[in-house]
Amino acid sequence: MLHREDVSLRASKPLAHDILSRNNVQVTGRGTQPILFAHGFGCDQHMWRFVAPAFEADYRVVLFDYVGSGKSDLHAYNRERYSSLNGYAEDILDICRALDLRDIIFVGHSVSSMIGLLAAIREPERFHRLVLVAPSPRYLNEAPDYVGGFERQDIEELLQTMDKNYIGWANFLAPRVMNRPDRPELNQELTESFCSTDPTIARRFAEVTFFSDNRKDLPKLTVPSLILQCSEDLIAPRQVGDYLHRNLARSTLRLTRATGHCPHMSAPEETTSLIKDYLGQGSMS
Amino acid sequence: MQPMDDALNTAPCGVFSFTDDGTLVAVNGTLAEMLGYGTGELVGGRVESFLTLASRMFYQTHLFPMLRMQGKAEEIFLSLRSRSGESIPVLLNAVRKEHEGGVVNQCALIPVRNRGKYEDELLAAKRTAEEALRNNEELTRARRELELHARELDQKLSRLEQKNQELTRISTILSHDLREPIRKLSMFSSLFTQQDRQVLSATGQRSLDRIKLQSARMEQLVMALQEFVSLDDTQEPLEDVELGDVVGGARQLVTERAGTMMELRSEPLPVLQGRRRQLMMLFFQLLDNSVKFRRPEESPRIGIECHVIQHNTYRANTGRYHYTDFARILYADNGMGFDNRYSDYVFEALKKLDPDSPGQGIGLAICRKVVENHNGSISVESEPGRGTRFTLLLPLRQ
Repeated sequence: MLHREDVSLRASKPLAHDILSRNNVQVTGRGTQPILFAHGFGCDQHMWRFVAPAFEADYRVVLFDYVGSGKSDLHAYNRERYSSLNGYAEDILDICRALDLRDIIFVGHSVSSMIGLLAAIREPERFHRLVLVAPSPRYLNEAPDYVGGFERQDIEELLQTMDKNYIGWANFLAPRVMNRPDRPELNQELTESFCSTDPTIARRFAEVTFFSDNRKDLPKLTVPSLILQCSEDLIAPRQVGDYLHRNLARSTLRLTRATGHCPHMSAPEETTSLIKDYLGQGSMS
Repeated sequence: MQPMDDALNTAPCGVFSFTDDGTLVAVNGTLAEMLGYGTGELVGGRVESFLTLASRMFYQTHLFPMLRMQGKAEEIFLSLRSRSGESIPVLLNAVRKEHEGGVVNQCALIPVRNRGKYEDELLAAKRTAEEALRNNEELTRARRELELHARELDQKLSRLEQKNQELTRISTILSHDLREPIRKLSMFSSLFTQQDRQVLSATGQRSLDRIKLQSARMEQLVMALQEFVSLDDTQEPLEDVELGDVVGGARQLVTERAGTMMELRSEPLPVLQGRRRQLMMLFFQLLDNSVKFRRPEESPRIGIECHVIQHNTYRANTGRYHYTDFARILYADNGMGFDNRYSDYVFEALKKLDPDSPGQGIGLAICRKVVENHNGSISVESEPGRGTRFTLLLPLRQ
């Protein structure tokens, strides 16, 4: 069961060690400046595996899973905490504190862009740059002037589609080992590479993601940011990227050649070089 | 596009393939017909073109990542959109394959119209059952928590009541019982005339001066303590307080008292619900602190930044979350600063880092108490010679 079994009345700071296992935090890389990759909805930290290694030579690379995703501790899921993106931002800040990260480059995909934004608004002094991959501050259209791309009914249908795909799966996308006794390395690879997620939590994460509205938070961001706007991205269309660019002070907008919503998976080289370009400019100025 | 063999083209299932950028490279006749298109019409277009909006999203957030990560996907439910706008529920399998130097994602699907209806009913029943179960669990948990809290709360209330009585007593001691003897001490020592003084030996004269000095100090200390204790008095009503005005007022007071000019730059500050007198005291003490501990060669320079952020209002109850608006105020000065090791020590009453420095060592204790009375928090970071920075978190509504 996911619920906490007992209620502690005493305030206690979670221990660094607990946070690191709770969020399945993985640290690699040979540099000192931290680059923190935050996965989006529907996947886990593995979605960065075509991009993150390219930063290991120069940075301290930090990867993690939000509570409820990947190999995080499902028992740490708290409905109240994760009923808004603030709870997820708290995960980020917990990790920053546990590892004493400063001068951070934060790279967030999709909903993680807004989670990172909230974290950077709360503790701006920790963050050096934000890289927002396919971000959107509001997925729903808001008449008369905001075009988010979706009506409420579309999101309801997405939730239904998710439900239908979770029928019969105790754990949708959970590791299933391919039966190849002749090539044991493949088994390992499959187990490692899966984007596993708990269906109940994933559904709530979807609701929180697609119904949240962070437009009013945008002017509060003081940390410089890069907006990576994908071509033909249905989930975060072009006008959303423009809206963000207009409302985020010190932001840079770059359009990827990659289409779709996941340029770090469909075009990892381009994504890597766009991020590196941006970080390179920062150090020159 | 490779020519599709006839068997595949007319197979009793939809078959198509696409590249990683979403471009369709092959679509069989069965699928084209199912969607109301001519053979070959869809090739070159985008895979999303025949998905409903919800299924496009599912494709982007789940199906594509899955294919990319693990090379295959099985029993995926999607809804297709035909040319005429009809929605067709399907089950889909997909594999990712190396093909002519590139990579294609090959998919096969079958419509599941009847099964879809049955699943809808199952799902609705499942949701109802889950909802009931969860409500039940939540109720049980809430009741358990409530019982636990009720007992703790009762104990805390009775302890609090006792503490309050003690505090009232201490307050009386401070304002009357202690001040009275001190006042008399100063008074009697001031009754010594110049002639009286001259009769005394040199040691006697020194002792008399000491008595005067110490009783004056004692009086100030008692007054400071009384001020500190009086902050527990919650008679003062809550009201909407314009923080900007409070800072302005506090600044004026500090400038008048210290006779020192200061440079103060503040971002616009919000209105917050609180006790005006206490908030005034908070900023008075912060500014007073900056002026007292300024660097001798520089005039005090203070910067105040403020952002409204969302913060958890629960503080003692771990595991409870309720996010509301808080003002996060960064208060920084260019003063002497101190070793950051003492960042907790400085908030304790009557604790001074330098016993010879001005003041009673109560200012920052007052600040902490005001902030805590407002259900906020205060922390400090400092570096000798670089200045001091306080971070205050204050909820906009109590």
